[in-house]
Amino acid sequence: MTAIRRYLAIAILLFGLGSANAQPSGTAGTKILAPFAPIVAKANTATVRILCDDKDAILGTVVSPDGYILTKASELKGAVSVKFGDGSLLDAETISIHKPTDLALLKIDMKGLQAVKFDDSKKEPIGNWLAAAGVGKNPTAVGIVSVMTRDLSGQDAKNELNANRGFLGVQLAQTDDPDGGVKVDSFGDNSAAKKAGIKLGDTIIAANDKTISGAQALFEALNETRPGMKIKIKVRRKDKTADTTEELDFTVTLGGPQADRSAIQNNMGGELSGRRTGFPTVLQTDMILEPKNCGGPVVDLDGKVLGISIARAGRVETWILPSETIRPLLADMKAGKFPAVHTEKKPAPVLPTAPAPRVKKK
Amino acid sequence: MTTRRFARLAPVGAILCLFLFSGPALSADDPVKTELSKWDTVRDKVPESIEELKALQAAVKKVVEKSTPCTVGVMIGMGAGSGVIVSEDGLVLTAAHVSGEPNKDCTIILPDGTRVKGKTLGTNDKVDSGMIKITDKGPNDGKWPYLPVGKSADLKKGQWLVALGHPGGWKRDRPPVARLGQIQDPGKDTIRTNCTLVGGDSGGPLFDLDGNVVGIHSRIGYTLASNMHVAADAFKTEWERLAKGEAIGKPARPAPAVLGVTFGSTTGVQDNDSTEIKEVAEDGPAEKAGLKAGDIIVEFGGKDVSTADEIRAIIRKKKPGDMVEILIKRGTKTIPKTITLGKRDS
Repeated sequence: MTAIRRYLAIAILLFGLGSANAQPSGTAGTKILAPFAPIVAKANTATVRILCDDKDAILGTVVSPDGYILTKASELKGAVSVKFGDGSLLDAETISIHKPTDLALLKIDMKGLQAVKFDDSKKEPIGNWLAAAGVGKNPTAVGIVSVMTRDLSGQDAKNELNANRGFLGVQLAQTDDPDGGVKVDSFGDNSAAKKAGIKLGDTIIAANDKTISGAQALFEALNETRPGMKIKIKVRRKDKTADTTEELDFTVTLGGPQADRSAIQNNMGGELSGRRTGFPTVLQTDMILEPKNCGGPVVDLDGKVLGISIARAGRVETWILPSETIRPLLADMKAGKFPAVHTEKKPAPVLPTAPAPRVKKK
Repeated sequence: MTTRRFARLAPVGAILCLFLFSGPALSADDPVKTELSKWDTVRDKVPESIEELKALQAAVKKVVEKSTPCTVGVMIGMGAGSGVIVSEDGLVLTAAHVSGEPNKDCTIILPDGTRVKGKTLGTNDKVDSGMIKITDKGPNDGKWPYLPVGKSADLKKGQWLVALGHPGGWKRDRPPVARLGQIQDPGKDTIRTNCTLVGGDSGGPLFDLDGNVVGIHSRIGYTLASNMHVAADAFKTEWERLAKGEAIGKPARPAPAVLGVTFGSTTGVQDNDSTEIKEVAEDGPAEKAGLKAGDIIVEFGGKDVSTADEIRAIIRKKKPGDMVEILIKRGTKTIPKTITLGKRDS
């Protein structure tokens, strides 16, 4: 195992050197985009740029002329507005969020919009060209169908967390403390929590002053963080010999995920979407679509809209949420079945063991 | 795959680990439409019109359809890679860091998920080429579907290619994953393309648009345009030796030398911080030299030693048959001994 670590260290070093003369890449660079302009022309008119707190965040797909827009939910934060090709900016309301697909339905106060019509994706064969619509003249990226539309439910363990979040570097266990919280059961390599002074057996009871009732609450608190950010963690520490309990505050500088070889390789070649796992169905393409250009429609050479790009998922793959999944969901979302506004939630049950972060087997 | 292998290849770039599979649907081309113009399979330019995009797409789909049934997953021990069948008797091309040592059992996963048995053949570590033989009978009168191996020297920069493989390892209900790209650098032993690869793809095939295997996925660099494949010609020049199961370019590694003792106090537990002999293997080198449990080794091969690890480090540098002078303490006496190191049994 140490040999593998050594290898990783060497490999990363080499990659680091390699990045100095990084070159533009992707299928044939940008020259290939131009012949696709007439193919995406119609879809581009139904594609909008979504801004969060006045900053470019993601793309959106107009799904009905009366102002409904679908986009990638996990990229939304703060005040959401929609920017059109002519530069006009409109405030948007988040009507509905569907977690399994990571879709959000936005509503703007405007009528007469160009909307997409979702066509069937499931017969689109491997090897067919795909183009991701954008707000300009050309597509934002092109590629081919790598794997036809497939069902992932049951395989891709239900992980709706942001893979780019910050990590404490601990494995959690259910606490037997009647006052709740989550127990720190073991540390990962280079554990951020350990560096900050947290000890094994401590019970995490608050993160940034928010009470942590269980593992789910802690994940939710971490989901919006990024590696390098600081988080305030309050723990309850028992001293068995003295039979005392004290509450201690720590400032933890969050780390990244435990880097296994697969994670390292998948991150070689550009930024990946935060939420990139846990989707029920996907059409897989080799197009190199930047995370900020996800959320728009994707078409084939006939201009048929096969779905919405939902994640830059790895070095070799971008995932498209297929029309077959979107169509029935859209009706439900419009009908208010998955309201975006958080209603008072009961405390989440404490998980027996935490799925993340991963600790490498010795 | 062994850690040693990874370590050895590391200086070239990232090593891939792999997996792949198959099964595209046929597209119903409208026969009434005017004929598709045909894509020139050696063209090195990007398509410039919708018509040309369609022509390239038709060529790509043809390659995918034909090659998917011959693209396999390879499982050896804990490692998972990809491969491609290139003869009707089931010869599979893969990467050396996937197949590893010759003459080992492995499992080949066919595109439909069927698992068949295979044996690893030769490797060439210098270029990362490897071969495997499927030992089960093929589905067509005992024969396997297979693909031709092309001439990689004819490849030109800019030429379009299709890569298949099992990124991240073989996955249930996922056929071999297709990627399209162009030659970035047509080398003699290594081809660089922008067909993106990741761990699990290793050993998978790279095709020209005539459907020939022109490369085998090997490793990646930092950029998306740094995907390295073993050139098909590098297989051809060593074909006979690889098929015979030779490990080409591997430094001859002598069998490890052994002393035939365990360390630790005779009254306590195993202890690496002690040079006291706890047990002496029957008929082993130490016993033959007259060592006994309870002896404490104080000098080994001319060096003062105080821990078992120091002794082991010296033994690692020796070969079986080497003679080593040692000094032991037995009770109050210090006794010199000469030991002829032995060979590990298995």
